[in-house]
Amino acid sequence: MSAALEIVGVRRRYGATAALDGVDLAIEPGTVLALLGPNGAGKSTLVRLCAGLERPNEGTVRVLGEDPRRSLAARRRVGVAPQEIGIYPQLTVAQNLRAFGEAAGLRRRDARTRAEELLEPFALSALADRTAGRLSGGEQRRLHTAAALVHRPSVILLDEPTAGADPATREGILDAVLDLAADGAAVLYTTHYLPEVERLDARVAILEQGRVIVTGTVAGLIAAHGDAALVLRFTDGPVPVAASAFDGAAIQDNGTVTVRASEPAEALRALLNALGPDSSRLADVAIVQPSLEAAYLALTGRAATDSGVPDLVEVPA
Amino acid sequence: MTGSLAVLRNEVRLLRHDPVPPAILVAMPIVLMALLSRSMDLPLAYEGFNAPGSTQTVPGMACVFAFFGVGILGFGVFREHGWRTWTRLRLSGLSGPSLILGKLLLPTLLLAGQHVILFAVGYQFLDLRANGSWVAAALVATCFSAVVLAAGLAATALLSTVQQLNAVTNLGAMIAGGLGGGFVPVSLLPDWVQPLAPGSPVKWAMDGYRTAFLEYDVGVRDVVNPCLVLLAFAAGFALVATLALRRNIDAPKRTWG
Repeated sequence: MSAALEIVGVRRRYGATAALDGVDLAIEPGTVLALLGPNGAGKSTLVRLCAGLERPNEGTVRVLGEDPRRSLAARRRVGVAPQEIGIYPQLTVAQNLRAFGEAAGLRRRDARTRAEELLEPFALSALADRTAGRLSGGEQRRLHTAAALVHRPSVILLDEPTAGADPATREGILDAVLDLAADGAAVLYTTHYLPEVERLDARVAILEQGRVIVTGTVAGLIAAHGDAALVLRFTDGPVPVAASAFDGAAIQDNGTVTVRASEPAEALRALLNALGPDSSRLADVAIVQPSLEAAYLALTGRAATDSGVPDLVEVPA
Repeated sequence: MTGSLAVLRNEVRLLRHDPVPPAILVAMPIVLMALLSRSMDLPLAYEGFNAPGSTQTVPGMACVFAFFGVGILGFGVFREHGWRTWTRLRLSGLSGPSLILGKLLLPTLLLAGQHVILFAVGYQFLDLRANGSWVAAALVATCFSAVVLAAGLAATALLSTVQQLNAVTNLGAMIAGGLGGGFVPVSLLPDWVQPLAPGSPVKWAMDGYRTAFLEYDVGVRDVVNPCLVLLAFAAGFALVATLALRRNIDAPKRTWG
């Protein structure tokens, strides 16, 4: 399947500062790519390049095969929700949606229809006639995100869409993103909230100092860089030799054994077999699931401690 | 053009929510026209014209207060930056020229409406009559409005804060209006000021209006010269605006301090 959004060898400098330093990414229709990275890593710059607001110094950005800087048609296939909320506080919710729909090229009637369609999934129906300036922060965030989708874009760029949002708002936005991808949209989603990425089951790219240091699926990243483990606690007495000698095991001060394992369920089965009758002394067994958070910290932590930027790590799906 | 019309529709939506600011284009000049017209009878007679004072005050106030269109156009752009909707409009696929054209449309309509209302009030209540040609007067009004819009675009492109915009709008209206004979005829200005008058587009607009309203047996061709000068002013401002906007149409503006 050809990529809806394709970024090849993109470099963007501001004076002597390299905001992006050779970025390659692609997003297929119907998928979500979560772009992670610390503040200043270049995420928002990449969004602006993809939206056609800026030109890369080197490399190419293609939206549905076209350069968004040159093709108005391509730009109109892109929906962007910038990081900072941008809405008309004096207009009602419905008027805001219509205004952005018309600006994106929809006919007046189509913009009105589409605005009505978006009210429900973004939980704005009851607020349709309320002026946007009187909405709560979470409601404004939902309106801001909905406004990016009013013209049914094929490529959606959401720059930290849940920043400052309450849990309910966040859930609503994540549901909407999943629906958009299910409808065939290619979604670029930047965030600092890693559980969101797991919830979206998105493909992940981590941007660090303008370079993509790792790409892969959530599961792949966790498998390669996460920290899965079994934690076993025994009743009184020494830890059984079968446990302490198990591959990857480490005995902790309080008499528990931690066994690092990429497949903790498999390791547990093997460990129980090895323990034999001693398994009756097990007081507690916990499987610590590896997380994207752990993988992210491992990856960016290395980058922070090294003098340079880590080499690209390809993680299998 | 579709994008520009979409911008215009949104400007109208916003105007309906806050219609007060454009009232400055008509409310204040009507008050001043009503208060000052009688006092202008004598100066016009002194110049040898048997015409009501409204022949001076109506076009004069129209010129002075049309300058507030600079602020209306500029604020229409500045507030988009304050609301962070400028970037959103640009991201929605609107080209720069479409967005700018759309932003110009509402001030254009407001200026046209302002002139119609002021001249209608002058005609109905202040005995304003055109000895020469209403069509010529309309041509002058059109050319002067082009100057205001181009100046507004240049100010919008060059200035970075709304306070600067306010200052330029107010100073522009007072200085250009005063130097150009918008308040009193240039012939009544101090001697040292009169040589400065040609530097104000209001002077050329008033020349055209005085021809159209005070002279007999004149037509459009008799106001061609002042109109050409006005168009030259407009072209100059438009060139400055175009160069600034081409450099960076998305230059950030500080709106609320």
